[in-house]
Amino acid sequence: MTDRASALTLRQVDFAYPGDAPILQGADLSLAPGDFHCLVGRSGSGKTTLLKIAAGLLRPTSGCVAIGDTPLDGPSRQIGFVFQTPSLLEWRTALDNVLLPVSLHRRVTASDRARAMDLLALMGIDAHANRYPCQMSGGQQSRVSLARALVTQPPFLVMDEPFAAVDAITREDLQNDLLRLTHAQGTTVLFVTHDIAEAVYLASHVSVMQSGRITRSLAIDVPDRACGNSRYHPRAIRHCETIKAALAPPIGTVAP
Amino acid sequence: MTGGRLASVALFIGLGLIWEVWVNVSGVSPLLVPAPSAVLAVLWQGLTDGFLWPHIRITFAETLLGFALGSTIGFAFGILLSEVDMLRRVLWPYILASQVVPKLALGPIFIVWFGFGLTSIVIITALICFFPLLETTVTGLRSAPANQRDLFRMLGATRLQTLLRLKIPAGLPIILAGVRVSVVLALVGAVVGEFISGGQGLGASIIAAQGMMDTTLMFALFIVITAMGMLFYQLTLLGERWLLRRRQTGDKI
Repeated sequence: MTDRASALTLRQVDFAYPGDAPILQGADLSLAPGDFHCLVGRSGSGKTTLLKIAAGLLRPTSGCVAIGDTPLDGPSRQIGFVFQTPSLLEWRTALDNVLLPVSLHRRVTASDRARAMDLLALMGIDAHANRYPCQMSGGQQSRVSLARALVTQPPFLVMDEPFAAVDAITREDLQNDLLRLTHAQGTTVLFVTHDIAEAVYLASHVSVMQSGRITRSLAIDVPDRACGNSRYHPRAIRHCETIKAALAPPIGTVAP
Repeated sequence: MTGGRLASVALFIGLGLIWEVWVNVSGVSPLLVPAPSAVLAVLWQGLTDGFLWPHIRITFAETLLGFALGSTIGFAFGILLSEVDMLRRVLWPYILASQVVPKLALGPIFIVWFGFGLTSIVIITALICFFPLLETTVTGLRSAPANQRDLFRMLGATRLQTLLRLKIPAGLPIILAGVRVSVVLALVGAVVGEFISGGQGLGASIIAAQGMMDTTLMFALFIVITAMGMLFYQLTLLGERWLLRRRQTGDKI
């Protein structure tokens, strides 16, 4: 965990699949330590591609990605990734799923197990530790996948619309769980969503993506950010309106 | 027993009765179509006087050996071909050719190479079992969702770990479907292999019965072979259910 105090930066990142139209053009992003950065945009705006590049799963066509001063040239264990679907191994128990990042690299110790149980307890699902994914609800599976991403305490967490498939009330619970855990670990988060209210509630910064470009970035300065009532603070509502305005009208095509 | 199973058994008994009555009423020669009662009597006699057991044992052994050999090699080649792209491109035409050629047409050459009996039949059976396992292994190993493969990349898993801890378990339902197909084909392979190469076994007994125009014995042997096939299939199914007991699979098979 050497880079907890380093920033994750993307500079002038372009991406295109060979022979296809560009998906990303000149994307710049900088996440200071402890930032909670949300990317919002319509479907197809390049959010997930940018996220995968930030995580090292895709190599940019040009431009660079770095953690601190070290260029990122592939998937890094300093970055935890939470996918759109929980992506749990269905033949493993919840606890084994949480411990996967550990068990792939060394023998699981009692303290690893205790730590995984603590994470599950923090999200109120420690009673389900020995259940299999098919015995759990969607919200519970999402919590397990969050615990899995955090069990090695990575300095960075990259999340691709992780709560899109759960109901609204569960989503609010999950958002609060996420904020509590990442705050406790000082994790820097890059979070993709198409839900503007979710972005404003969670984020310290929001970037708006349109047609492969980041067209607007703003700092969220809602007092008592990420508390139950901050969702309905007049400033939060104003931020939502600003972002909504930035998202419309759609640009449609990428300018040459 | 569920309603469906009960109806299935009732249908079996009903068809047997119709057959019995038809044979008696029509006066068809027992050399052409024997009555079910006569077939059951021959079957019972064969089982009690010990005539059938050595044949059952040998066919059982050939089926199991051929299945074990063929499916193990199929599984191993499936892994090799799906992991090493180059090998797939080089070997695929040969594997396909080995399957397209009617395997029983290879029987005579196996007899030349390995002699009459067990070895030749096991090899024919293995050759028949090999392909379903190969195909389903290749398909199964590719069935892990992209997210899970990305997850393993993010976690820095080695290729071997990804294979053992993601691809094989994720592909297991598909691979096991191949096992089910293979086990049924194995019995077909063993019986038909005995037609051309066996002195003993249920297939060889069918040929012997044919020589003696003993149609009743032939039908009795069909029953034994069918029962054996269903036993193999059910055992595979039990194994499959046990291996997949934690999964959310669709309908029960």
